[in-house]
Amino acid sequence: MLELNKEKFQIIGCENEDAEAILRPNITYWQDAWRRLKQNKLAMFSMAILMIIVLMTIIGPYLTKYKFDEQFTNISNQRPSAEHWFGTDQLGRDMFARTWVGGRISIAIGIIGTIIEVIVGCIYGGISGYYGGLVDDIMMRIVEVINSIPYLIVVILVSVVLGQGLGSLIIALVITGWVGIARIIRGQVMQLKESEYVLAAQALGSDPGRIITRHLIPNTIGVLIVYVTFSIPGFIFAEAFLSFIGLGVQPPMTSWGAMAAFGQTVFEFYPHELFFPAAAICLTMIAFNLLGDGLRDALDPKLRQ
Amino acid sequence: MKSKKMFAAVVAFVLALSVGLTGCGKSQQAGNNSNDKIDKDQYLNLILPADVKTLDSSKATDSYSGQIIGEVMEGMTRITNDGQKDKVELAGAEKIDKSEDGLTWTFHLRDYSWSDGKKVTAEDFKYAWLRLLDPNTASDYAYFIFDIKNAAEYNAGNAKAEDVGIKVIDEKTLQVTLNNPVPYFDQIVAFKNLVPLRKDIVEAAGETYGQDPAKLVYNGPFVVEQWVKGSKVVLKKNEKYWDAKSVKLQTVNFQVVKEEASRMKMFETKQLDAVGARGEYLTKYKEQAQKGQIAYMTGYAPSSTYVFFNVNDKSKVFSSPKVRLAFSLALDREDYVKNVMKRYYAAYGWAPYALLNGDKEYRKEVPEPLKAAMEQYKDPKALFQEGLKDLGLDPNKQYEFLYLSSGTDTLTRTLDEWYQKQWETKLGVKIKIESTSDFPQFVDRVDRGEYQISAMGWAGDYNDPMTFFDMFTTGNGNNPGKWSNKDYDALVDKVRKEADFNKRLELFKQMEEILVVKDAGIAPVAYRDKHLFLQNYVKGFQAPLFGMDYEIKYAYTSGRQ
Amino acid sequence: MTRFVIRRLGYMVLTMWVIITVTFFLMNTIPGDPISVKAKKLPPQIQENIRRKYGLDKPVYLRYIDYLKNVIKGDLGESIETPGLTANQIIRERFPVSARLGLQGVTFGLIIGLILGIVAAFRRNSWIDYLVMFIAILGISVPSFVIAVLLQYFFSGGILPTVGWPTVNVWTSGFKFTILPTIALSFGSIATYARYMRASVLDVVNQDYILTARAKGVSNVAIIWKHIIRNAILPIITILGPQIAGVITGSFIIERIFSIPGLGEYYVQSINNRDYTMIMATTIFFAALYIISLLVVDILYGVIDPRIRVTGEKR
Repeated sequence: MLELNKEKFQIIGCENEDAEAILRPNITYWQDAWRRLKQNKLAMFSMAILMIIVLMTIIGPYLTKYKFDEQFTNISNQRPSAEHWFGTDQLGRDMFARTWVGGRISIAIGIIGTIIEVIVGCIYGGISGYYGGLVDDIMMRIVEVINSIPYLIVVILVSVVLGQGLGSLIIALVITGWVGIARIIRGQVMQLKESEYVLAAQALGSDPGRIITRHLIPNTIGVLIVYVTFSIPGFIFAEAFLSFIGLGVQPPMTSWGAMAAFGQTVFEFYPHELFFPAAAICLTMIAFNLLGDGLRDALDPKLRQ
Repeated sequence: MKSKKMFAAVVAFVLALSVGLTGCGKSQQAGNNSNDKIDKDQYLNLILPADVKTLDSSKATDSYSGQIIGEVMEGMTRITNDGQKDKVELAGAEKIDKSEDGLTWTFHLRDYSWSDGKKVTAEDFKYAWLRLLDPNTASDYAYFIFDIKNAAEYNAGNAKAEDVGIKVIDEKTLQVTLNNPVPYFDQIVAFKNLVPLRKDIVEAAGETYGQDPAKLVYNGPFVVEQWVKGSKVVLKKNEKYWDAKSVKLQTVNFQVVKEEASRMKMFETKQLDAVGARGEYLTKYKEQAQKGQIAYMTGYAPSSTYVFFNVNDKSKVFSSPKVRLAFSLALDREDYVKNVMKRYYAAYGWAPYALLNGDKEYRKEVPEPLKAAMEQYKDPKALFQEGLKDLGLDPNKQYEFLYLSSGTDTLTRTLDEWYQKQWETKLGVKIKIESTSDFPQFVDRVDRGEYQISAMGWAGDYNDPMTFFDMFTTGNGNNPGKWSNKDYDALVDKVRKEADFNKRLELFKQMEEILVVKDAGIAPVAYRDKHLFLQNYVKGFQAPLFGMDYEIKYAYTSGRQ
Repeated sequence: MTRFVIRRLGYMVLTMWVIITVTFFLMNTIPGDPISVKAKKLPPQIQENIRRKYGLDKPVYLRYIDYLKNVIKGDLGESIETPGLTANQIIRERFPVSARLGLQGVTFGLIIGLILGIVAAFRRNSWIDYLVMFIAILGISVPSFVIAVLLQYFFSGGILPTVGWPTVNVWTSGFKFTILPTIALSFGSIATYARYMRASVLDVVNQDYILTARAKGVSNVAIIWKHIIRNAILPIITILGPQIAGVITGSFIIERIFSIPGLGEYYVQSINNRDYTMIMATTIFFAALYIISLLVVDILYGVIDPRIRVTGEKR
């Protein structure tokens, strides 16, 4: 019988301890996304522009000696000059200061509104699409009802019940808006839930909540991001409308949408009053879109390396 | 659904339009009638800023339906404009007799006929007027003839149709008995809701009367040739019209164009022959008119804008006439017309120019009361503090007041912010602006008294100062601030019974003094004006103050390319 | 499938009832009524006459019951704002106008948008891609009323009419009147379709079954047609259904700017005028169209994507 004892063995140490080492650093999903986003020059450039715009909405109004609500009715509708860099509006107020003050409201509303819409829409659409059957039937009928009630009536009611202010403004904006995203997510989820990886997750005992949030929603990210990039300008314009029906920002406060809506009525005569707010909106939009495209590529789990 | 948000987004512009158009008419006559060579093809292209809703004269309420009805139907008289002021022209009536006390009016019809050849009779007028008053018709404008004996009672269901003071003497004579002497009753009967109606035609169409132009008969200068709902109305000359020889136009095309920019573009490319203008277009076209590129008609409108106060407000502040007057005096009306509106006329009184008392212009006879008040109170802030002291309030505290905006369009917005700045800088108060989603909601809030200050406009219904003064009596629906003054009410009652124009003038003067200075119920801001631009070849076009926006009966073209 | 459709139709009746009920009561809750829209206040007795005529003097719940009875009979009532016309007549007159414009707009937008989207996706990161995306961003950032106004500005007095609508035969005549509004209407949707199509083509291109197909040696054209487009078009269909329902019911802005006598503008006006009859009638009509369009989309879904089976069928 062969005897095995300690003496017959010799510790030689672990020479190739790197054999199973991971050559690349172990990074999380988000780190990887960020790494890939950084490689996308256009996206990074857009991000820089967005940051500049945000920065300007914070400090911009203080760069000129005119306050955004100071009226000089005798110099109304002036073209841009050394004194008023963006010209003046119909009450002789400085457009430069107004543009950046207005940007605060517009950007805040665009982002907050979209976040709320996406969260509500994803949860609603995800549940509806994943469970299907009776749950889906009922949830989708609710969507149909919400979508069919005249928006204007709902908005007027919101303004009557909640009064005016940023809170009721955002509620009025998202109250029916989320159903669009909910339907899209539902459609995507219905398609994706037949995938093998969902089956695998189910077989491994994942609960539906985990499957929806970890497997289904991340795979709809492409469509989601496109939706979001549509959604933000939508909010900026919708806010302009609401400020017109008395729910939005109240004078002398302003927003890009409200400024553009006014500028549009006089653009034949004073193009600068449309140009500056419209340019601000367009620039923001283009930046959001390019960043969105970059994010889409970066966040798509299928493109992960 | 973003698209849904956006499609609703321009609701604001509908509102903008309806506010901006209150009383758009003009008061001069374009062109010189002599030495013109008349074009062979006589037609005009005009626009309607909104749909024509009905051709039923008893039910029409909007001015665009009124425009068409006024050209295809004709009442007892017709309001024309000689370039200076409105004139009441005999139309359906060939002679009007007024009794000594002014209470009985006898209309003698001329011998003329409907477009189907039947004679127009006194019975047709009686039928139309009673139909207007019938409670089942539920017409908005029934109140226009409430001065007729028992008319209001019949409309309220408290009297029978036979009791109403409208009597057919014979086929061509109609006699009307009034409650009070109404010296301007000859204008009232020109109104579009008082044109005659043929019982057989109305009853044949039933509820749908006024929707199918082919089923109507006409007695005006034109007939409706085609009506495409929401799109256009084509008028053709009515060959059976009694004064057909004065009508030169063969065709008039009314295109519905709701968007202001579109209308202006159409006018600039000569697709339109006449257009009203405001804002920047006004400045632009005035310059073109000065160079002679287009013709221009302008004048006062029978309309004013004013600020009113919630006198029953909980804070009690606006129960003080001194406070109200201070708010009124704090407004720099010259800045308003020169820099903000760039049109209109500064109003230091309530009744606007062009309004006639008899045949004299009221405003030229009575000096504007606020001008004297401005001399008397140089410092509105001191007056404001004095008012606060009278109320037992701390005059040095900073007060915040709620200003309720009547509209959501950009123009109203601009004005709101102007008011805000005026009061904040001149009175040291804080003004919070709130606006409502749409006009009905505004009316609702004002009715419930959920505001402290607000502003509105008023357009007169007929050419007499009364249309500007009886609205502020206690309890009148058109007295939004619910201001109430016993002396004022008594004066209105007195005017009602007065037929003498000189005495009326004196009474109106006293009323105005109470309304804008002594008790400062309101703060008048501006008298409105009217601007109309025409292509150079359009002649004989009229724009009366009252009645229709455009009077095209006498229009023609000369030199159209 | 038949069972599925029947069940959905059953739901539809229920949904419509909920919509009618909710809208009816909400509408009556908002401040103002058909009388308060008048620029001038009417004497109280005239207000009473009007209330009596349109049944507004009755309590809301009684009006609601009366209204439901009439709806079941197919009678949507008489317009308050346009005396002498019933809601049914107004819809019959105005809907075809909006529907033609909407269908032309969707067709035009879809064709151009899909082509642009597919081209951009296959030429990813080329100048074509950037150009398409630039147009798309512009299309979203510039509101349709600006496009409409610009179109009108440039064509005014030119070869194409800038206002009005063919009046003789609503469906076929006067094509030239419809060109500018169609372009203005589809401008935004071209952008939307192009972007969605690009995103979803890119999505599909990375799927394993495409790799499989390539490995099997399937031709490129076949891959594009059979695998990529068929799969990529799904999200488009999701948005297309409600969008068609949305556009054939009329675009307020386009109809207003080009002075088109459609239903979209009328609808907004009726809310502003508190024309209760027309608010209810158009809401019911639009809701029915919308729900039917969703049903059609769900059915199409099953036809196009074999992986999705309509719910209710056994897996």
